[in-house]
Amino acid sequence: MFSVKNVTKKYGKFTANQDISFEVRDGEIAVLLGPNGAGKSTIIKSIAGLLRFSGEITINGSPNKSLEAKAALGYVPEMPAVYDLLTVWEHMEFIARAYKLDSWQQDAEALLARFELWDKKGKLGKELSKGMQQKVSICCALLHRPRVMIFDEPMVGLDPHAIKELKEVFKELRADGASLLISTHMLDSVEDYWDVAHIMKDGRFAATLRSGQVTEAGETLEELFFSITEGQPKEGGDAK
Amino acid sequence: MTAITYLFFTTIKNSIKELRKKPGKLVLLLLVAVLIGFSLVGGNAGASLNEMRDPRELEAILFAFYLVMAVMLILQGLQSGATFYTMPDVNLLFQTPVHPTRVLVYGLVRQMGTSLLMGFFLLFQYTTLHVWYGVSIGGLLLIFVTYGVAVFCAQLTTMLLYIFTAGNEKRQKAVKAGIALLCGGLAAWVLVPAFGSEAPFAAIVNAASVRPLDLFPIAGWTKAAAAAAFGGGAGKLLIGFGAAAVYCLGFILLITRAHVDFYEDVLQATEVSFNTIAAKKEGRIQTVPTKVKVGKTGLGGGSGSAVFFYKHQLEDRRAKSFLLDGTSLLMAAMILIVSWFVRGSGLLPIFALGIYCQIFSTMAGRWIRELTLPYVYLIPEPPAKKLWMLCRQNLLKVAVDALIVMLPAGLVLGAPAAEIAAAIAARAGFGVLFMAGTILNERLFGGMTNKILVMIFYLLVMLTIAAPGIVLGTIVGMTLGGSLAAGLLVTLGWNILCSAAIMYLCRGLLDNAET
Repeated sequence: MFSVKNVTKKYGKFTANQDISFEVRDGEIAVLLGPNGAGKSTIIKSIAGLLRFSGEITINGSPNKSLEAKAALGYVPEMPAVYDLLTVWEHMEFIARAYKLDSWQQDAEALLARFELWDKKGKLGKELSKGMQQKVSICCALLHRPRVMIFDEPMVGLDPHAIKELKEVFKELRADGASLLISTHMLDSVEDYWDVAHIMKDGRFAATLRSGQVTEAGETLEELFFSITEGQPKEGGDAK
Repeated sequence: MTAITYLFFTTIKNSIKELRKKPGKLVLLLLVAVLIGFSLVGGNAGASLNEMRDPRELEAILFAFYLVMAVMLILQGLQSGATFYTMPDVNLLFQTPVHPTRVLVYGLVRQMGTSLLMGFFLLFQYTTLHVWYGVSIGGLLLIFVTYGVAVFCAQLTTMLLYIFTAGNEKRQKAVKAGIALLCGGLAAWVLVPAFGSEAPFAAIVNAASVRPLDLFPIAGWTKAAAAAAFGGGAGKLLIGFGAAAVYCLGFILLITRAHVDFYEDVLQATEVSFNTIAAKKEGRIQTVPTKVKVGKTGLGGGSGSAVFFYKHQLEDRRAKSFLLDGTSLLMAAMILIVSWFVRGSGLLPIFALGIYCQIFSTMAGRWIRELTLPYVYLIPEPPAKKLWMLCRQNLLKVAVDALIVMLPAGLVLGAPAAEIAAAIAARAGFGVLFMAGTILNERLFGGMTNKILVMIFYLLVMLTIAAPGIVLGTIVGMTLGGSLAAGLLVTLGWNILCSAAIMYLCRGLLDNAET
C-alpha cells in the first residue's frame, strides 16, 4: 500500500498540488481523473520520488525516497522512457541488473511476448514507434514485480491488443495484492475495474468516489466526472 | 498587413514582451552587454602595449574559419537538408494560400537574423583583434556581419544542394566529390609553399591572402569584405558583399523560376532541427547517430548502479564514440597542426590553447541524458553511488583525451618528457574539473530553461574555480626556477581537490528530478 499525506507542490508562486491526502490499499486500483492541468502528473511524479514536495508520502510504510520504497515501486511515465541505443531485450537486462534480479529471463520473455515485443527484442529503442516504446516502458516497470504501481496515462499510443493486455495486467496485479494508481483521461477504459476514483481539479481533489457507491447510484464514472468538473457534484460522491 | 508580415512582427513583439515574464533572458542580455563592454574596454586599454601583427594573418585566419564552417554546414546539410523554418511554419504557414515565393523570402529574412546571432561570440574577441591587428569597433561589427553572411550563404547552398540532390545518392556523391576537389586544391595551394619553408606560417599567410582567393565561393567573398575592417579597402568590401548579394539573388531566382517545390525538401530538415532544439531545451546534448550497427548485444556486466557504466560503454560503442569522439579527435588534430607551426615556442601556450578549447568542447557526456529519463531516480541505490557510476565512463574519456591531445603536441614541440607527462596529467585534471562543473551547473542552474544563460554561468563558475589553481601553479613554477611541470602538477592537484569537493556537495543530485 502507499499513502499520501498533506502533499503540497509549488512551482514558484504556482500551486500544482494543494494539500492532497489519500491512500491506496493492497489489492486496490485507484484512478486519478481530471482535466488537463489539474495536477495529476505532478502528484504522480511526487509519489514516484521525482519531485520535491511538502508533506509525506510512504510506500509500504517507508518514505518514498528510501531505497526500500524504490525497490517496491514501479512507474510508467507519461512519455515513453527508452534508451535510443539499447535494444528491447537490453532494456530488460538493464532493469534486471539495476534491481539485482535473479532468474529474470523467463519473466522478461513472458512480458515481451504478452505485449507483442518478442519479435522486436533485437530492435534499438530509437527504431521503435511511440506505441512500442510505451510498451517497453511498461515492461521495464513490471519486470521487478513491484508491489506499488503508478501509471501516468499508460494507454496513450497503445494498440488495442496492448490496451487489452494492460487491463488484464491491472487486474492480475490487484489480485496479487499490489496497489495501483492510474492516471487517465480515457474514462471508459477504467469503467470495469476501478475501486476508487479521485477526481482532481485545480490541484485539489474535487471528489473521491468508491466503485460500489457509483454502481448503486446507477451512474457511470463518465457522468459523475462531468458533473463534478463542469457542474455541481452529484449525490453519492464524496465531494471535497 | 499580410499574414507573413503579421507573423514576423508579432513574433518579434512577443519575444520582447516575453522578457518581462522571463527575467532570465533579460539577465542574459544584460550580462552579454556587460561582457562585450569589458571586452571593448579591455581591448582599447591594451592597444598601446603591443606591436601590430600583419593584418594578412587575420585575413588568412578568417578565410580558413569561414571555409571550415561553410564546408561543415554544407556536408551536414547534404544528409538531412537545411531549413529556414520551424515546425509551426511547416504545420501552419505552409498550409495557407500564401505564395511559396513569399514564404521563401520570409524564411530567408528570418534566417539572416539567425545567422547573425550565430556570430555573436565574435564580439567577445575584440581584445585580441584590436590589440593584435588594430581592428576598430566598426571593424569588429563588419567582421560580425561577414560571419553572418558566410553562414547565410552556406545555408542557402545547403538548401539548394539538398533540393537538387535529395534522394539521389549519385548526385550527393558527385557534390561531395566536387567539394573535396575544391577544398583539396585549395589546401594544396595554401599548404604546399609551407613545406620546406623556414617560416611556414608566413608562407601560408602569403598564399591565403592573394587577390584571386577573394573570388573563392562564400569564404573568399566574405573574408574579402571582412578585410576592409583592417586595411583591405573599399574595393574588397564591394567585391565581397557584391558577390554574396548576387549569389543570394541568383538563389531566389533559381528557386522561383524553376518552380521548385521546396516544401517537401525542408520538411525533414525542419523535423530534425525541431528535435535538436527540443533536445537542447531538455539538456540532452548527446545526439543519436542515424545509422547504428547493433553488433554484439548485452550489457556485459554491472549490478545495481554499476549498470549505468556498462550501459554507457555499450551506448558509446554503438554511437561509435568509445573513449574518443569526433570533437576530441578534431581538437587533437587542430592542436597538433598549431603545435607544428609554433615549434620552439614551448609547451605552455599550446597547453593553454588546449584548455581554452576544452572548456567549450567539453561534452556533458551521457550522464546528463540520464537525468531526462526516470530510471536513474527510481533504481534503489544511494544517489551518490549512482552519480559516481554515471561519471565513470566520462573519466576514462577525459584520460584518453588528455593523452591524445597533449602527447603528440608535446613530441612535435620537442618538450622534455617530464613536461609532457605533467601536461597530460594537468589536462586530465582540467577535464575532471569541467566534468564536475557540469554536475555543479546542473545542481545550481539545472532548473533554468535558458540554456545559453546556464552556459555563461558555467563558464564564469569554471573560470572562478580554476583561477586560484592557475595562480598557485604559476607561483610554484616560478619559485622552482620556472618549472612548467611543477606548475602544471599544482593545477592538477587543485582541480582534483575542487572536483572532489563538488562531487561531495552534489552527491544528492539524483535524489529527485528537480534541482
